[in-house]
Amino acid sequence: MSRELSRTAPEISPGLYRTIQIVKSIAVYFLLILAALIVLFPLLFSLSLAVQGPTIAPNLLPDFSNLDFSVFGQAFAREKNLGRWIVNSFVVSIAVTLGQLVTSALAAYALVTLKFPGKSLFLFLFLGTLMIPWESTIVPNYLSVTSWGWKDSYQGLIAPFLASGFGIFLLRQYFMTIPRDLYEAATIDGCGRTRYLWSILIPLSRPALGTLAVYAFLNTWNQYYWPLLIIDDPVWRTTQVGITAFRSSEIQVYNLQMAATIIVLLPTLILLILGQRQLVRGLTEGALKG
Amino acid sequence: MKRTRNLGQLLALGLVTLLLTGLLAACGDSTATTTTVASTTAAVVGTTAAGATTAASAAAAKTTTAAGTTATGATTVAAGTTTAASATTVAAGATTAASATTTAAVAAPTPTAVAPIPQPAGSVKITFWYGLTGALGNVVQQTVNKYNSSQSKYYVEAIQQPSYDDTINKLNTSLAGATLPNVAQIYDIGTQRMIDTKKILPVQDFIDKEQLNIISDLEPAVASYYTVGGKLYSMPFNSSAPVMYFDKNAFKEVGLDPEKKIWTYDEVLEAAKKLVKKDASGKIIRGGVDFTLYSWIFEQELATQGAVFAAPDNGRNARATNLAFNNDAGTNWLNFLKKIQDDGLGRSWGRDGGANSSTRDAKFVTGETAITFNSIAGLRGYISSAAQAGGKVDVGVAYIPRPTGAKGGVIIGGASFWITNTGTPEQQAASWDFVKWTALPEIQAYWSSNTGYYPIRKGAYDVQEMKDTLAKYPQFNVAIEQLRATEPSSATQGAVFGTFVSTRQAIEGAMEQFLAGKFPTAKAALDDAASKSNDTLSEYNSTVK
Amino acid sequence: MSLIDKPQKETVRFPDNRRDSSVGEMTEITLGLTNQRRVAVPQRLNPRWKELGWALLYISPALLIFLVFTYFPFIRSVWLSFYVTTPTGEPARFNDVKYYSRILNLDGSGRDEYLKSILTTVQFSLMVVPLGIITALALAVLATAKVRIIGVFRTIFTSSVAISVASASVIWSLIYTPTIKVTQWLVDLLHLKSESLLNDASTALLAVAFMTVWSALGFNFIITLSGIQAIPQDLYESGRIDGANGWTGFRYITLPLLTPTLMFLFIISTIQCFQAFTQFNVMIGNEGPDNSTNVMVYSLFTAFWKDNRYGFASAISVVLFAILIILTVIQYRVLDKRVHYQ
Repeated sequence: MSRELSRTAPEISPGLYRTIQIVKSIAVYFLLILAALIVLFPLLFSLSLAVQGPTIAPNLLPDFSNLDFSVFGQAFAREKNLGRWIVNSFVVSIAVTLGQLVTSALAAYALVTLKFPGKSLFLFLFLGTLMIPWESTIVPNYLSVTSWGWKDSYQGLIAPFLASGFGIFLLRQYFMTIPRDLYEAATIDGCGRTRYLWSILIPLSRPALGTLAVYAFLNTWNQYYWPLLIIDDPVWRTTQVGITAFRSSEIQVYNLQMAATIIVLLPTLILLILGQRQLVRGLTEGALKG
Repeated sequence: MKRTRNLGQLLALGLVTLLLTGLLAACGDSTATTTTVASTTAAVVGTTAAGATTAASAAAAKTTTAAGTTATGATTVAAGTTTAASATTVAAGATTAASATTTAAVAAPTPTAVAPIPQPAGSVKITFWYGLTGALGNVVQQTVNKYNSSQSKYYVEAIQQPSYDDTINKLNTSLAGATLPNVAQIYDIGTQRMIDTKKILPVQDFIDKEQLNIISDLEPAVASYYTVGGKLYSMPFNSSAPVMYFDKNAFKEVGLDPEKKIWTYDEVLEAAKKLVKKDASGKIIRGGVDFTLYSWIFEQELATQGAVFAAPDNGRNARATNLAFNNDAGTNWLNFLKKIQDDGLGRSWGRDGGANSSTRDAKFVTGETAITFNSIAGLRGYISSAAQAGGKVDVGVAYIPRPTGAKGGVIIGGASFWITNTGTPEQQAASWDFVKWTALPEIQAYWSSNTGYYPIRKGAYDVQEMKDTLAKYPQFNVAIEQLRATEPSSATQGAVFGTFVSTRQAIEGAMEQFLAGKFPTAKAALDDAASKSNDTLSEYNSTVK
Repeated sequence: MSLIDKPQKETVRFPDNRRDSSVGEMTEITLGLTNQRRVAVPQRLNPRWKELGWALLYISPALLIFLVFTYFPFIRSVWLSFYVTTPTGEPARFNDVKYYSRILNLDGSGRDEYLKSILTTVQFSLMVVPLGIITALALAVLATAKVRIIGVFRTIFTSSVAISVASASVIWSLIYTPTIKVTQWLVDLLHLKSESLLNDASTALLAVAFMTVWSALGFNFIITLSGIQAIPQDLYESGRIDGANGWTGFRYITLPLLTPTLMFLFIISTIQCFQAFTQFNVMIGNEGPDNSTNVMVYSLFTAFWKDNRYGFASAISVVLFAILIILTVIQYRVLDKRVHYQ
């Protein structure tokens, strides 16, 4: 349809052309806003429920003349450790993210640029980790971590997640789009392997690394069963474990439940908003070289 | 150029973390910490991201209200004018918010978290896991605090687990790692599994050693539930039983007796016909009887009809080897529910738990349901929610319904305290001291008055606090009568076997499939559930001899 | 283990800058020879072995973590799957392959609930994966529109990435609850017997799938958008000269060049669907109306967490693993040929 439009474009008057452009951009805005509303609906919905006060039968829309924001304060007041839990989640998530970036970049680099026997076996081993359900690994892991005395500690929360099959796969797919000539040229120029990775491949792959960072961070932030198992002392809990208490009271209090949910998702949402600008810019600038 | 931005990103991340950690370390007072953390985040948002509407507004809303600004002020922020300026205001407001947070908390209907008291020097410390959350969890912590300040020899560190399920599962996983709590609150259906861990010190042994005269004062139904093979294994703590809740106003409206306590299935069906209201399209707007599919109620109905759930003798004298719930008593209840649904007298909200239970509760307190079934521990919640929802509903309590001529009773539910064999002899002594203390009449009166569970001691009813509570909630008396009227038998003692959790799931699945018409008869549905459950049970039994 | 020991020995021997060194004793001898020969000999001998040492060095951190925390436990699981275990996870007696024949309904019991569970998982993936990728693609194309404040829209479209599946499940279970009446029109429209989409056997899986699409949308969107952004603009410009615009541009430039990204999404989404658990646990909390949402991981969870049947849970996880491996290999074989690498 738009092909026809553009073909006829030179034959129509400039005025009509401008009108078409305006109509087009209105349509685009309309679609964007519609899509945004649909995507945001669950979030707006949870906010709406949170500010309706402790009612047992909330409505879809709150009574705008009587919004109750005190519920967010209540959530904090009710759980004294909430601040500490958020810190724990941050420390663990950042450490895991950095760890995954390093281990995945190194492994993906080897898989893409180096030629060695057993390469597909290693790829298979890495991809295979994605397919192993966590339930089948949790008991032995619990025993190992306990025997090392890592209960109630950051290392216990961090170590098992320092490598990611997903990260390796993601970076491998991305590295593969970077022309191999670049590697050959660089190594012939006497640029060492590690230096090639550090000063050429990594800067070129910022979008993929950014994506992995976001993904790793959020996944770690959202972990539930592992932290639940290896943490006894409430101060070492992470937000997801801690917040479950809000959800399982005997008679459910919708506003508190939703307020707690919003509080836990806020840090990640803020991070996303901060990171998104970087990410998008990285995408538009960095990727063109590929 | 590019690398600098990359670095900048990392730096920013690191900075935020540092700030948060630093703040936490600096402020000993946790209330102050949380507020400051919020203000920092708000400031960060304000200075960096312009499009952060949702994020900043929610954070802003919280801090503004905490600082005592009017709700309208908060609304403006939330309306979406998140400029750097408004975020700065929020940050500025938050600096003064430290003291205001406490005020907000006092005004809040939900109780604030209860802080544990510090451990006195030289005391023996034991750990205690509990699975109650929310307001109930707070009362547990308060009870522990009472114990800790009542003496200085022992100190109980109470650790809350996210739920009953998580408590026993975590305990089970910890068995191999040998880091068990000294005392754990475990739900009723975990009884056999706890015994099978072989890491348990039965409270009976402690009672016998001290020749303590406590068993005779325990509520008989409660004591008998936790007695297996003649031995009281754990000390009951929070106990409840199901009742039939109804709206007295609705009963009066259609001319039913709101004071009648015992209802047969047929009487309930007749009542439901009068109570149900439909709109022009035939859609139910007030259910006569609305219910969730809840295995616990199913088990109770078996007991009411004097039928056992597991054979032999509900596992009370020897290990249960066979599930027997696919009997007439079971089919009676399923047919009763099916009739309600098929005759359009009421609605099923689906299987019990999560959002479905909330639906049941919400519909009842708003008057959209005339009769429903739930634990007596839900009474206060219903009364206060009904008042909040406009006070249309006057909450009444009756016995759970029964077929004509049934003479059994109800089974106690809830949870009890288990003492594990970990730790030093002093810790084990401390564990028993704590558990014994929680069973004191005054403590049980306190617990019951603040939660809505039955006291486990008969003596608790003589305590003034309990008398006041009963005067305030006269409906509770019906539940006590129902409990006392229960005839002791292995049927009303309740079943103990190792795979209760999945059996409940199988029963609820069978009920759901039967109501959806997937099975021709109730018997066929229950047979299917029984055969599934028997497979699991016989495998379990074969591993725990 | 020998895999790990080997590279370490080599790295000690070869400093960083001597990139042309090779494996084994050969090097020690050749060191003294002329420069020319030193370069030539090992390369002619085995150019691929030469890089193995380096590769292992780069791979070892990830490999070590995986061996300790994934493969060692998994191999233990495979072993356990042939045993009946005690409630604490110790093997109680050898069970042969009975668990496997039970899962695959080869034991003559005629009960096919586990086969049905596999089928449910496949259905779930068929609902989520195509819909998820198409939605993400549509949004990503929409988000390349050159209008003002497009950044805000991009952030919004990405937002669900910041919301954990657990949180999202809590929100969505309230969206589906009859108390708040958001989805009641749909229940009435479909004339369901139940009061909620989640309680009806015909809609429960779809309802969870829809929530999953939303929950994964942010991530799928970022990936797709980054893929589209990576396509050089000059391709479109030269395309425009040839008359490729709008749909044709999308069909003949965007889509082909996006295939590596889409393949990645396809494989990852499929794996994630097969592993999906949290939403089922939070929103349904059991095997669903008429077993309609009893996906494999949920039945695994029941066996593991509710029954403590570790042996049986292990057997389910091995079957799940096998299915995923087969699926991925097929996807990879079929799709990798069609993928255009630049």
